[in-house]
Amino acid sequence: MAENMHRHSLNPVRRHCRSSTDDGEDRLSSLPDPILTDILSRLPINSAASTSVLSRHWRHLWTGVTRFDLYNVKTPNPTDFLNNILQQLTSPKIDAFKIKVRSINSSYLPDELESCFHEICRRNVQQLIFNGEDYDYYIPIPACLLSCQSLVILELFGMLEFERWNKDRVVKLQLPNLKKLSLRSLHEVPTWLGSLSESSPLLEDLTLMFDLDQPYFGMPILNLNFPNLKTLKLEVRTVSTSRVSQISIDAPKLTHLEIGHSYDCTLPYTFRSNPTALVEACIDLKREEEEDEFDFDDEEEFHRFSEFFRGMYSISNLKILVERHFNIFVYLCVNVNQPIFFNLVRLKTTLLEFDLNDCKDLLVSLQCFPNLKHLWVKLYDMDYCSKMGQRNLCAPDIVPSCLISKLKTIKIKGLRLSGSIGVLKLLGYILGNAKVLEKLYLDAWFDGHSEQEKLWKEREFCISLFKLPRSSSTCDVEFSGRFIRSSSDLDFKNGKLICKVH
Amino acid sequence: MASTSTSTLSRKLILKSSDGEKFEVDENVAMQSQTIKHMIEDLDDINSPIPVSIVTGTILSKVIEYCKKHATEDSDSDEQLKQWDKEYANNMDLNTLYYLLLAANYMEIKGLLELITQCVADMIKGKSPEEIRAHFNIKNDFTPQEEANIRNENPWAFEN
Repeated sequence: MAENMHRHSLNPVRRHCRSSTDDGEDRLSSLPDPILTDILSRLPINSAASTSVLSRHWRHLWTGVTRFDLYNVKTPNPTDFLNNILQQLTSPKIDAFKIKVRSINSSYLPDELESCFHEICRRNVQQLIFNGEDYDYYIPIPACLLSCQSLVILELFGMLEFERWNKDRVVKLQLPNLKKLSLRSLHEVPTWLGSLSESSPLLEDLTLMFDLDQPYFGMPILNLNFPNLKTLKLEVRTVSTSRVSQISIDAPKLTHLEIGHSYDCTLPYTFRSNPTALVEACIDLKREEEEDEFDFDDEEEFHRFSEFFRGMYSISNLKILVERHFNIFVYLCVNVNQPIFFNLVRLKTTLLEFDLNDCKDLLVSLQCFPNLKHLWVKLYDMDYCSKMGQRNLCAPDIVPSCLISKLKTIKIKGLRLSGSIGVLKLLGYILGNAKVLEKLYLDAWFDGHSEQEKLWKEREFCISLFKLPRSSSTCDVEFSGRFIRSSSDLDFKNGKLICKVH
Repeated sequence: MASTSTSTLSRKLILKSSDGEKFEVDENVAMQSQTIKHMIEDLDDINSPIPVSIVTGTILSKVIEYCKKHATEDSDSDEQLKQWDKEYANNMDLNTLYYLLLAANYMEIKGLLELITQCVADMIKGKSPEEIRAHFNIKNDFTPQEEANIRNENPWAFEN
């Protein structure tokens, strides 16, 4: 073997590298043009175009870029502006087109925007991200986008309007390569949406946000049937008189699910097949504003919700934010065939009109989550003074197994109390049973006639809380009130509370 | 069967730089270069050194460092690998970056080419034409009038 071979060490023996500023040579310009164009393609288009003044060599290099990124288009006529740039670009292929249009004083984004999109589709665009979020008017989306076969990623933001052209002609969806589609937001349900499943079988990531601003009846049944879908985000905003029909989800490979839904209609979601690969979900069914009572059937609503909840049994990370008159955890308690969520490690949830019954339901339902490690409960309804202070806890017959051997953090936020006996019983139950708990965090405040009384109650409560016997030797209890923020590890020594009042 | 596949995995190749330095590398390390992959297919004698004609030993050692890291991708998470890439590129001076770019381009190592291209793009990003010229020693061969005319063609590119 040759004597100068490096077998193990690849450290260069000779070092003759110097910074280019030392020898004053312009090596960048001497790189082959395709490499320079590739470098310029990685810059926002304005930055790439500004290199045209560097030197004669750089004069037209930028026009060969294959990507078009521009985040701040605020000319009075974006269509002319974009077309002018597109005309200068010589590459037959434009891989990515990403722009953000700002609101301008013209009252409409002219239909000629179509010419710009046509040109991009003609150049086989793969990634198209158009952000008109800051634009105050409806943005007509040209039909050509829906038959642009090269598209892999399509993301449109703003008040999207598909129907302007659709009324006259039937559009055939042709998006066979599409993997990611994001439409935020739609003010009606485009008729072509129903055939997306057939058109785009490769779809992995779908985001749909409906903002049904007018009383809108007859939303068609939507079947989301995607064999390869991994991420699904759905948001439906409606006004009170709206009714959203069924949205059925058939996505066996789904791993991430996000649902945002204003309360004013019955839950429209169902799983046609259970998403057995589901890892994470956020179900946000918070009510946006107080509305009149609705005439839908609470019983039926409860049933629908329970069925939907049951479908997510494979999940490991669940965030479920609900404002309803019923407590979903009741379902888990009363149901004979309780679903067991073996994988669930993290649960974030909300409870409304919290009292000890809800609390008992939640404790009992913990039986369904044998491997739960982190529990986070937020309590709603600020006007409601919890009766919990006085009432007594009726402890569940069986201590949930996750409480004994799995739960590491418990966080309870938004507790409003008049007295402390009941809640101390509850916390005593938790601390007395949780053998591996590392942190109990409690955010609460007291009602009282004067500030002094409230402060006094907080202090007394805090001392009683820190004195509660704990099964876990490594457990820190943290209390956060209106006046006192303290931790049992740091601020409680020999039965005395030493912490700052703020 | 198992032993055959093991020996295939650990097969060694010898790469020879333009200045005669030789490097013994695992086949799967070298195969990240499409150019070398094609050369091996045509090669009768696997033991003879494979010439990497336009790449010097100094640069080739850096290329191999990158390929070695990326040949064993199972051991690191994507995040760790990205971090390693970042540090790898940040440790290079401009000269080395140019030669690495040429080498990655010639040897057709997609990941390395992308990494260094992005690294140079990041150096250009956010700089005014004057700052770019100064950073890369680019000589302005326009007259002031010519430069003004070009700026007027696409004034939007020079705002901010």
